Amino acid sequence: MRASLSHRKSRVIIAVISVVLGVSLAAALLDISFDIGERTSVTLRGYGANIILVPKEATLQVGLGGLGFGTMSGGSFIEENDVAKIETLSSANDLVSYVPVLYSIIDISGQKAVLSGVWFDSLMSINPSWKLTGNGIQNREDTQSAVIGANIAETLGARLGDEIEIAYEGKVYRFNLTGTFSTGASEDNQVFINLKVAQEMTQNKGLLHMVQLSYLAGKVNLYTQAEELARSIPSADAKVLSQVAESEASFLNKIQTVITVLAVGVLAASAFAVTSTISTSLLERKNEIGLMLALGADSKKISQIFFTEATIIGVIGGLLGYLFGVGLASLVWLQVFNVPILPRPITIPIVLLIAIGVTFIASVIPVRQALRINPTVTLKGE
Amino acid sequence: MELKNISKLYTEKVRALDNVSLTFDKGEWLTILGPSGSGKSTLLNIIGGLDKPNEGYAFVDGFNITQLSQSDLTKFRREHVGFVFQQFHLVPYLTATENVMLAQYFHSIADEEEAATALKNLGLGHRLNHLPSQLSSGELQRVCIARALINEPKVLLADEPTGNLDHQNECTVLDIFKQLNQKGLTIIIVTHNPEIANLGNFAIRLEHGKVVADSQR
Repeated sequence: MRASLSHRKSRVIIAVISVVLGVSLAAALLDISFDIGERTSVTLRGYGANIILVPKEATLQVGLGGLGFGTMSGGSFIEENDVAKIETLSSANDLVSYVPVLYSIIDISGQKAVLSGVWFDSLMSINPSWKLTGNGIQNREDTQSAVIGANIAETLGARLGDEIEIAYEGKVYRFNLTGTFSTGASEDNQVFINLKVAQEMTQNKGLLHMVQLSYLAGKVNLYTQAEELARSIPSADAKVLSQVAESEASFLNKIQTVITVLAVGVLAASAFAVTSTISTSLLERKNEIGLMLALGADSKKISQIFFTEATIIGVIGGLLGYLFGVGLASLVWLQVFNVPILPRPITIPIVLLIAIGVTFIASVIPVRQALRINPTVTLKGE
Repeated sequence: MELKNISKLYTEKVRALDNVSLTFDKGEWLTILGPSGSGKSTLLNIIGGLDKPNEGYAFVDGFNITQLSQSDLTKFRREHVGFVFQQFHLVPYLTATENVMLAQYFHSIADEEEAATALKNLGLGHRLNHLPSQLSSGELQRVCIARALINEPKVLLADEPTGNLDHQNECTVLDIFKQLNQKGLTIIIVTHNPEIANLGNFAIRLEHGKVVADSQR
């Protein structure tokens, strides 16, 4: 076998190159398709929560960004103690972050506005696209800082460092303005302070109106996740923000379809190239095949010889193709996302199987043609 | 071995063999003579199971080879026949030993020692690991004979085995054939050379696909 392959070095090299070209592109696409879900999920998670928890039997209309997601009554709450369970669920690793929220209506300089008590650090981590000016609220124990939306800031003419007064049920609370932000949505009309402060102000200790959660949609099924959350937290209903979730899923599906079509196309082209190379190689060896037939070689043994050669070409082409493919995928990833792609060991056996499969399939027609060679003709040298 | 009314037509007008009949016994040496295009090689190919006649039947070593399926014919060639060709038809990238082992591989199991012994018996002990390109024509033909004999065939079929050899190598090869025949191997040789006919038990002469003469010694 080694002698046969080394005797036809140039043909073998051409066949290996055909496999490498096809497989490297397929391997790159495979690596990209493995990573694209996570990478785009992370990117898309810049656009906010994709699941929310609301109190059971909620009646007050609430919204997030440009989306409406139900109502809640003033008397309906989620128990804050239950919310810690979110971090113990099996999907906790795929949770970007979550934000417990307590809403109330306040007066700020004579205007009605929505006050949101939140964990500010978590709020920013699930909404990295929000443009924050100032330091925001640095820690969850901070009782002095407040951040206001751009519209309120403009109306009040407030600047960073100013003291703002918030009135709630006849009491006035003073805060330092440590940040303003612009979201282009309803948050621009809200005031944000630490959750703990808001709970004390409104005498709703340990209670929440909502929890916003952001999961990597490419890695978890949001609807299954919502069901699990609802089961684990008895005081809450879990709702998937379907517009966000569906557009993410649809985006990922489209990208993965494009990748699959490209990979199949590339592999088909590679299979044609390998078929042509193997056909030429067998044509050159028709005297040898004629001799084998004359010596009494049955089709099984002749096929075995050629398919073994094809497998060797497939393995060499597959391994080289994998290495080139990972390099190619990394280059693409660096250009697009500024991070190198993580080579996944699972790609190696998949790529090898693809490479062997391509060379095997590409060999079927030429080998069948070879077996139909008439030895009396080839041995005569015709 | 019995051939009865064998005809081979390539087209309606081209008859390679025309109603050829002949009978001979195990252990005999048959020489097939005739000019180019007379049907000698076609007859040899039919006896060896490489080709099938359009008419007639052929019994070789107890098999009606005209009735065998392609896979049975392949098995017949593997187990009953050894071929020696004028053009040698050795695989160029395999050594002498490996070329002999190739026939073993298709028959059963390749055995390097056995292949080397077969070559040594034909005086090629010093050429075991040589490639065909490193051997003389006489040596090439001896490798070809070793390959034909390695699976202990019942019939040795040789198509112009000395056609590419000088006189000295021709004598060496014919001597080997004589010894093999004396040991009981059936030999059928196709040749232009009438002198070779004198070595066998009998000879036939073909012209235009017909037997025009046969001589029993």
